[in-house]
Amino acid sequence: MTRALVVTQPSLDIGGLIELARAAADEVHVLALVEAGQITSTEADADGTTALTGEVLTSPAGAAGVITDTVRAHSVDIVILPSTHRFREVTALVTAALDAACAPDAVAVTRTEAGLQADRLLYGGVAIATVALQRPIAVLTGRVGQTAARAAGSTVEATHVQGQPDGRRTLISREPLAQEGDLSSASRVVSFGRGVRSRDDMAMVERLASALEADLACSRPIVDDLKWLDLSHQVGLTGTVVQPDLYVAVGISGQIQHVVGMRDSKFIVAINNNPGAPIFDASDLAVVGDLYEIVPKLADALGTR
Amino acid sequence: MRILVCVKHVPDTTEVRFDSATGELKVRQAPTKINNYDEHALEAAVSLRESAGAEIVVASVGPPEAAKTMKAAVAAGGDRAVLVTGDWASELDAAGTAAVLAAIARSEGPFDLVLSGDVSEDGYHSLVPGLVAVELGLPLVRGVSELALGDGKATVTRQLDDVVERYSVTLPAALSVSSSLNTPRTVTTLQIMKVAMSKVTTRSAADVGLDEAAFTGARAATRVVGLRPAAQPRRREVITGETDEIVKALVAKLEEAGVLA
Repeated sequence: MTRALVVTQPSLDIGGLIELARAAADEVHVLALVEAGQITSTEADADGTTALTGEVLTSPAGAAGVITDTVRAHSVDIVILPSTHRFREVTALVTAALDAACAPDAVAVTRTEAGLQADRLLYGGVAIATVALQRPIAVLTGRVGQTAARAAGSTVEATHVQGQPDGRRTLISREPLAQEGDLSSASRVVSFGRGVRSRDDMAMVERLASALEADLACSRPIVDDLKWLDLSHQVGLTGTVVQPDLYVAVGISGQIQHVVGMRDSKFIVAINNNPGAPIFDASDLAVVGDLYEIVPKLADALGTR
Repeated sequence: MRILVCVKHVPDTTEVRFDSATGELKVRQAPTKINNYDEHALEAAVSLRESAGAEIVVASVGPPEAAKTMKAAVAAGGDRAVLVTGDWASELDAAGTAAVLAAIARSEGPFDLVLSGDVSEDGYHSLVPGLVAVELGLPLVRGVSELALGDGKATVTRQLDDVVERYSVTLPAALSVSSSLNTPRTVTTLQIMKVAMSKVTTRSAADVGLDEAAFTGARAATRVVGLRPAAQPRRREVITGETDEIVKALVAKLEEAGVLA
């Protein structure tokens, strides 16, 4: 019997992870890591939910130790973690401790005669690689939703685990970021890139976004190099992966790392003055022209509909 | 202060394409370069050397042509570079890569800081920094966007999914850095050519105390057994002309697609 353990924390939607687990495991258990005072609920689709709390879980090394103990105690074959930034250190530590075969950002997992195989993106998202997992234990990560919008089960009481966090690494401060909505669940997104020449011109793109009742987003250089917007607005492999009904790319050239973040959108429109821009290969409508002329007039036209 | 900077020699993924006729992925024809994210780690090491004094050793494992990337890393500020190479080294998984980098760290060490980029452009596993830290028994912080040293500690800031965190980490430590940490200096081809080959040491796995058979091929933790294109076909319908025509056509098509509010 193949047993999977899905690790989570309250407020994450792990429906996708449970689905991933079901494809390869006969039994799926959920392990929720809970901060003091938080409550969590059972996952209706899982065969069992355990909640743990304790100071030890606040460090990645501590959390990884607790996950590793759980895996060993219950003969788990497949560990699945959220592919969020917070869990990335834990993923590496669990993989090392279990000498596991790890496939981060897995989009599918299958049981074959030769053993487990996972599909994941390679070469910046150009290819999907099928990866043979050649160890007794597999560690996978997969995409999660940031809000637990699914039907809640019954409340689980968290069990306290003993232990101290790694003293070599101490938290000085933790400040929540001002969140302006979660892009991953947006139904319309207007995103801009380097084609927008100055910070003041962002207002023009914002006006289009509001005419479309869309969320505003951007490509990596806008966050990393220009710092006009924060990471929560960044679409791409290192930012958020979005899948809205409508994605409008304004002045974005279409580096593969950006395309990976938006290519699951239902309908994609790109506006770019370079007819050879790679973004057009990923678009339903390829609008070739000057965004400084098109965007304001498009906003006007949509506003008077 | 001694700093090890781990860098990866990668294909330029913007140049990796599927051959539309044969369906084969053209990776070997793509130009190669230093992993973009690792350039930020190298730049961080150079800033620390400027402010506090440090020796910077660059470490990598990869095919023999990765020596070119090593020279680029020295040109960008590394004092010297160590490349472990062999015919086995081009298709190494994350666990094998980490085993070799940790072996380099042990043979060239001790180091106060082990730096790398958060992820590699080609594989995007984001595993190697953590695996190296475990092998070397070092505390790890990834996603570092601000870094300062003092009193045997590193003070770092990072942004996670929805929070900004500041940590104090006791040295020696492993840090992987975000690309928002700094702006790497640009290095010219001439500067790379001028780097003396004596600054780049090439070693085999045995030279750093490893047997590559233990972590390659059937004994690797993971192995790529198939590749297929990821892209979904799109309509790619071109709209061009006078601005007013474009806007009119665009609104009509958006309405037709049923994607407006």
